[in-house]
Amino acid sequence: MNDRDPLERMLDELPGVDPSPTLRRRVFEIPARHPKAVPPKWLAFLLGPRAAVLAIVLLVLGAASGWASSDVGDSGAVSSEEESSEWEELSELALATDLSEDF
Amino acid sequence: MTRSSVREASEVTLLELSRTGDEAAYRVLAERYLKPILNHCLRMLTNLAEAEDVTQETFLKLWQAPPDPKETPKVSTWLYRVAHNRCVDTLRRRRDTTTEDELAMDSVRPSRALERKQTAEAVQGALAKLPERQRSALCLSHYEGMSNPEIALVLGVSVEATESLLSRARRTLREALCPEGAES
Repeated sequence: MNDRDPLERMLDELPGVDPSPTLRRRVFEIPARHPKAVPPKWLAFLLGPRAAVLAIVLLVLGAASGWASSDVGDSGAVSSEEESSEWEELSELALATDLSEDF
Repeated sequence: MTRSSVREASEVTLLELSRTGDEAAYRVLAERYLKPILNHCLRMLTNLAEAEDVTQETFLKLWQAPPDPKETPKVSTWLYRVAHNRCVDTLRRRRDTTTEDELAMDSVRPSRALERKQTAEAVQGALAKLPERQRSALCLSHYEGMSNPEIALVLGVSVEATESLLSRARRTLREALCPEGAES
């Protein structure tokens, strides 16, 4: 014991204190005095990684259904020849004459 | 989680629970570290009222803005770092209005024997005259039993710088408290 560094022995003379009841109350009442604004679970889901996974799955499904339905659009396309003949028929009806003969 | 299982939970779990607003987990951490943090603040500030204020602020931060357990697995290191920074702020604010001698004389508690009281006051006075980081490093090493790498984390300095701070602090205290053995 006497072999100990005199400085260490002197430092040991400085005793510790116990927290006063007032301080204990102040520290333990912190959660009651400063309630946390914990987000609701549904918001946590919207902001969490599960929401990102869901969004990616929906995007993939959307893209897949888009490719599947793209063939339908091609059959409904109108060629330019069909379009011009329709115009000629309409002009005949409106003006009672075939304008194509004048040109 | 039941009260007993919260008490037995690891610090990382307690921190995770506290972050989600679990009051029981916060209370377990506060119970565990209230006394060490208060005593560290007291040795840094030598004033009980200020030490209590800084302690309360430290635990308020633990509740309101706790660290990420992935980045700070040891709660004690984080708490001591927050407390140290608050103590330094308090000392800097106080420096404008109080002299060093007044700080050294600001005794905080009665001791059982007069001699022990005088020694305690002398130690408190000598500690108060140390530069802030030397004082903090010495108190963390001697009273909290922290290793040099842990102290380095608390103070935000390298391990080599911590060793230097401790060495200078011990040399200064030896000269002040036990001048006959100051060379040892």
